[in-house]
Amino acid sequence: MIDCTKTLMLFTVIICSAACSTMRLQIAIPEKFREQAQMLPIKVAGVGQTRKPVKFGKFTTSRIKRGWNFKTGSSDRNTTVTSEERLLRAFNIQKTAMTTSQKHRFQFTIRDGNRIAQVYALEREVREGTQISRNSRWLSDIYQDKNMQYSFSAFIIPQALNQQEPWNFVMYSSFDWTQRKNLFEVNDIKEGGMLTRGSDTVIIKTVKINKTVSPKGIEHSLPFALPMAYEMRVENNVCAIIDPMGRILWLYRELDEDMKLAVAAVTSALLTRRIQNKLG
Amino acid sequence: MIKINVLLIILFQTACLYSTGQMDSKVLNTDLEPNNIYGRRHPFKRNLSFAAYSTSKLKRTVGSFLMPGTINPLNSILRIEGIPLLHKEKYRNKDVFSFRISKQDNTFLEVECRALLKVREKFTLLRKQDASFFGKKNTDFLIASIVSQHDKANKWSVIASNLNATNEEAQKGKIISENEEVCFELCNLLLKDANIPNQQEKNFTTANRVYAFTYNGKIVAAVSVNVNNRKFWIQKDLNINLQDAIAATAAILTIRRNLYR
Repeated sequence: MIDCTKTLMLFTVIICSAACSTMRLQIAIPEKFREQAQMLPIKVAGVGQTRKPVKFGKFTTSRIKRGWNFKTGSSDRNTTVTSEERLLRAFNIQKTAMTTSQKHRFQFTIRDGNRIAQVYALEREVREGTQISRNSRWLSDIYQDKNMQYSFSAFIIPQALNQQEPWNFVMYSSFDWTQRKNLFEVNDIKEGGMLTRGSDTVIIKTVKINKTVSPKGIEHSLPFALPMAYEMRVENNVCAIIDPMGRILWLYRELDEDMKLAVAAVTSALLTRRIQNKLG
Repeated sequence: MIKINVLLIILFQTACLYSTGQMDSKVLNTDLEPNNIYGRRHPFKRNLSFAAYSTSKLKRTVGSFLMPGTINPLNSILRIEGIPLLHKEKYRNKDVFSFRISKQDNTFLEVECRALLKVREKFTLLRKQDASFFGKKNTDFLIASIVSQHDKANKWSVIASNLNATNEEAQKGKIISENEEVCFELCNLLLKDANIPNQQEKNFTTANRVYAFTYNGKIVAAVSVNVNNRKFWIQKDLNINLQDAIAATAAILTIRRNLYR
C-alpha cells in the first residue's frame, strides 16, 4: 500500500514537473530584422481575463480597467439562405436565424519612463448563424455560424505638455463560413488594420507562420502555415513584429520614441483584449 | 430513431460541401455620422425614428400576410420515416406597404413599396441537385416610389434584387431620379460606433454588415442589415434631396419583411 502511494506521488511529481517545463514556442524571425530590432519578452497574465499590468522592456501599463463584457443574442433577419437551410426545410426541421453580438471595452495607461499615454479600447464581434431545433431530449440544438464581423478599435492619447495629436488604431476581420469549400477547410480569417496619426500611418496585418523556434534555438516546421503573428509596417518597412505565442515584441531600434510608445500601446491592447486573444 | 439522426447529420454535413451563399468581404473605411434607429419591431406597427427622420402611417396590405402556393401531395407521400425522396416547393410571397417619412421641419415624403418573391425549389435525395436547389429559379425583387410632398414632379424610384438572399447573386439595388442615381449593396464596412459628444466612444470604429449607398463612386450612407442594434450612417454635407431619398430607402430596407420562409 505504501509502495503504491509512493509510486502515485512520484508519478504526480513527474507530471507536474513536465507540465511546468513546457516550452513556449516562438516564431522564426528573419536574421536581417533580428539584427536591427530589440527583443522584448512580454509579461502578461491570463488571456484577456485579468486586470494585471503588462510589462515588457521599459514599457509598463497600469492595471487594466475593464468595462462590462456584453454578449447578447436573439433571433434576427436571415441575410443569407444557405443550401443547408434549404435541405433542412425539405426535412421539415425547424431553424431560426440568430445574431449574437459581443462587446467589451477597457482602458489603461502605458508609460516608458518619460512618456505616458492613455489607451481606450473597444472590441466588438457580431456572429450570424442558424439554430437548428431537434425536438429531442437526447439531442441538443445545433448552432452553426454563417458569417462573422470582428473589429478592435483603440484610441491612444499621449499625455504631454505639447498637446500631441492622438493615435487611432483599428483592426478588423470578417469571415463567411458559407463560402467554405468543405468542412475541413481551415478558416482563413484575414485580419488587418492600421494605426494612424495625421500623416503617420502604420499598417498592421496577420502573418502566417510555418516555422517556429524553441527557446533552445531548434527550428520546427508546421504542416501548414497558421496566422500566428502580427507585422507592423511603415512605408513597406517592417517596424515591429508581435509574437503572441512566444509573448515577444520585436521592435525596430531606430524607430522614434513616440512611435515606439504607440506600438507598445497597440501591443499591450492586442494582448489584453478578451474576445479574440491569440496569446499562446 | 438514432439511425435517422445519424443520416440527418451526414446529409447536413454533405450539404456543407455544396454550401453557397452571397458574400461581400469588401471592407472599407468611411467617415459617416452614426445615428441609432429607434422603433417598434411589431409586424403591424413598425414606425421608426432616426437622425432627423421619423416614419408614420405605415400600412401593410392583408395580402402581405398570405402566402399562396401549390400544395404538392408528393411531398408527404414520397417520405420514408420523415426522410424525403423528393421535395418540391412552389410558392409566392409578397410584401406591399406604404408609409410617410417626415422631417423635423414638418415636410414629408410619401413612400410606396412592393416586394415579391417567387420560390421554385426542388430537392431530390438520391440524385445530384439541379439549379433550383441552389435558388437559381427563384424570383426576388423590390420596387418602390418616393414622392416629395412639395415637389410631386421630383420622384425617386427604388429597384432592388435578391434582398431575401435566396440565390448566389449580390443583394443590391438602385435609387433613381431623373438626373441622379444612387446604388446600394450589402457589404461589410468599418464605421463609427456612436455619436456621443465629449466622450471617447465617438472615436471607436466597428465592423458592420450594412447596405452601403454609393453616389458618384463614394460611399455616402449606410444602414444596418440586421434587425438588432439598427443604425443609420450618413454623410452630413450631402445634398438634401439625396439625403431624403437615401433615408426613405433606408426605412424601406428596415421595415421590409423577409419573404423567404
